[in-house]
Amino acid sequence: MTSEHDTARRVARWLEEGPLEPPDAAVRAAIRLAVASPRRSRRLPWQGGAARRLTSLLATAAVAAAVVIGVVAFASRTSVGPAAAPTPTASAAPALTGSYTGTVAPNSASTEPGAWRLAFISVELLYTNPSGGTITQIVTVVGPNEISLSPDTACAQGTVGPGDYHWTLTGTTLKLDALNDPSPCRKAVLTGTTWTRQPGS
Amino acid sequence: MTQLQLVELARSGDQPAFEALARSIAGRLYRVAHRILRDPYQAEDAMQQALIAMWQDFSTLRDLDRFESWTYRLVVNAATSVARRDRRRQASVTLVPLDIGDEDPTGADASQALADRDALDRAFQRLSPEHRAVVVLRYFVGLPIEEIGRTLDIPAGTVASRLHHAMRGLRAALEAADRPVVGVRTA
Repeated sequence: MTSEHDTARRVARWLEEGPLEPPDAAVRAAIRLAVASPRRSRRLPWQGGAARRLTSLLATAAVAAAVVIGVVAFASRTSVGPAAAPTPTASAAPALTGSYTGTVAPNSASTEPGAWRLAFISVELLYTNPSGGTITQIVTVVGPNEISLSPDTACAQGTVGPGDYHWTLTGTTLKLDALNDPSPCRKAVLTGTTWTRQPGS
Repeated sequence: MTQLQLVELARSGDQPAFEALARSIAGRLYRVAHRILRDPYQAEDAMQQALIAMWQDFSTLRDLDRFESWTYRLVVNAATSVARRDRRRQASVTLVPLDIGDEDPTGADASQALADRDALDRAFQRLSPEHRAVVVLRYFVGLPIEEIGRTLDIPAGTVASRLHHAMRGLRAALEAADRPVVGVRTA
């Protein structure tokens, strides 16, 4: 009977056999091929890359789901029966509707520094990074001057839950304060500057 | 210049740094690829694919301290891809001199090593590339199970399960090789 230890020892010994170095020509060829090939940019939109298609698809799906939920909620409200408790639905705070710009400084979340643009359109918040990449999230009003943003799928940490923010609009200056946001990317952008509302928006 | 500095420069797109780095790790990648594939030409191919992927995907390496682990993942992925691509191609046979040190080449140790090689060669070929990879990372590279899991981005339980399955097959092959050949007497 061969023991586990003996098997491991014999396998390790067997694996030691074999060539140690590749032919130099193969290494040279690999280096030549590698540096001639394009490098992939996997930067996420928070870091300055273009928006991932998946992000847009998820946002679109979330908008569709919000619309369906809204229609169902409206229909159930008009039907006979016990009144349901009010629940937050996806909607932009009317006072926030419009476009804002702000300059985000370099930060620990490594979001792209520079001029960002926020646009509150209907139930969506559209972020445009300094390179032109975009991220879309759903806005839900959860209280006076409080909004909740849909889970962030574009941060390097993977999908992280919704973010809650308090907003203050004074004249054309919008200030956002994070109440609770597990996404360091979103938090760094939204709270990293004060936002100036664009005329006519 | 330290390897960490080379990694940092190569990641930022510095070609001479990449070349120096590639030369310093090519042997390690080749040896791992060879032990998984058991074919020198396929191993060269996998090493080349891994080095190309390293250049192309360098920006995805966030933690520079994980560089070595990341390159193991690249070469395992490349070896798996080569193995699947060439699944139907007959493996070439390479004669490898057996290192038996000062032992008597006619002795029992040499005989056992020869028998082991034959049995293990055949049993290993029957394993999937994924099973071969965990055996190589565990018993050739010497990584602990948890580290193999982090390297290949799979749960440690999956690594342990693959290793158990693979070693069971290899152990059975060794036991079969250890059995004395029984002669058949004919009337």
